[in-house]
Amino acid sequence: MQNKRFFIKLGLHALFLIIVYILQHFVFSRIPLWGVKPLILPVAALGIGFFGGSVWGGIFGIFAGMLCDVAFVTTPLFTIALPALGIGAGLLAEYALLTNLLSYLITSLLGLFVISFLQMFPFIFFRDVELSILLKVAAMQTAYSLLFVFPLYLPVQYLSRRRR
Amino acid sequence: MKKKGIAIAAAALAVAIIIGIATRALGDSSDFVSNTVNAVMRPVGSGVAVIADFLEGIYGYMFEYDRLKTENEDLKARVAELEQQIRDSAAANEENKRLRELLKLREKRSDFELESATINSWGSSNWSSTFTISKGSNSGIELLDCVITEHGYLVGQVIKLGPTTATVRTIIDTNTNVGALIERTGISAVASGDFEKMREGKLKLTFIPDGTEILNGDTILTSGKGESIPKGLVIGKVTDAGLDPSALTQYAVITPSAALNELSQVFVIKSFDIVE
Repeated sequence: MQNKRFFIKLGLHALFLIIVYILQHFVFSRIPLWGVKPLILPVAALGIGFFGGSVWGGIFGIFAGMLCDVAFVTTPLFTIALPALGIGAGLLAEYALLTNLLSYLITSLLGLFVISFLQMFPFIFFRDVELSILLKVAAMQTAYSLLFVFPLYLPVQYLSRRRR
Repeated sequence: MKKKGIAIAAAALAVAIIIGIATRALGDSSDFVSNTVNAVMRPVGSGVAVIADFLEGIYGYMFEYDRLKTENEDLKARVAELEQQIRDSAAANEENKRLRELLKLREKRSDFELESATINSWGSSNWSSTFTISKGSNSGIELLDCVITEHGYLVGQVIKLGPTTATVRTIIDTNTNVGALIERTGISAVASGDFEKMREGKLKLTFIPDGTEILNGDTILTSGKGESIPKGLVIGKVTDAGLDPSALTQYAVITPSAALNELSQVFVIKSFDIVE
């Protein structure tokens, strides 16, 4: 019976992952705002970690990261970063923050800052690009991505509630 | 009593005879009885007709509804099918135009072995410019193969390869470095991606030799240096040329000739003759 429940939860997480990936890669990549495209999978991974705990955040983060690397055609940046962020979000919820919308928003903001820095890193250190331009893109990307905290709040809460 | 009845009957008969004679005498012009009956019965007839229509409607609703519903669904499906045919026809026309242009390119560059592919999706990163195409190594595509439009405008290069898909890095991506030629003067330089320009859909011309004259509107071609990109493909036109703020080096901004935002079909150059 417990095994069955576990597999249902796993299936729901997989379904959620696929839906978010499709939304990010096929839908919202065509709807740029302020000239940038949003990062939805990282916000989802942070949400799963924050509401579902660091273990689920880490597991979901691995797969979300792999899909992000496919979508962004990057090195395994997200495959490493997202599990770490998922675990970090889980730890924040367990030890530092209340699990509510505002805290999810703050956690997502922190996570998106980290991701932006990682994305800016090669441009800062290996290319001759003005920092102000990079910061502007990073800020707009973070702002656009943060909007997705609101529609993702209920689904990630629902998924984590089923686990308890 | 009996006499009274006979009198009434006789009077009625007399009235009937008079009416009959009068009707006969007036011929077809006016039929008093008919008119009277018609006048009296008209509202009744209308009422009956309304009721009959109403009943017919109910009958129709009860017995014709399913047929009409089916017919309606059939018609809707037919309309959808026709709309799809119109859309397909428009897409076929567009493809036809592209293939006609490609035919012209094939006449000019008979050494090109081309593979047509459609764009599956664009990369969703804000830090690079890539897209995925519908063909891969199964179609003979290789890493660093050059991707062009039907007009022969350079689009990018294959940087990741799967059996049925490939990822193309566009010429505006920050990792792009392509040997270039200024068509008007024949002077060599390098067309390079730049983060700031990439966000505007443009790239830069770098390593321009001192004293080179560059004008807005100059066409920039590929130089063919290296073995992955053929010589003479159009990269774009110079839209901003001048000296750096330091006044030591020249710069030029290139607007790609390939309308990257509007691409739906591209052509991969699988092989070509290398011109020394």
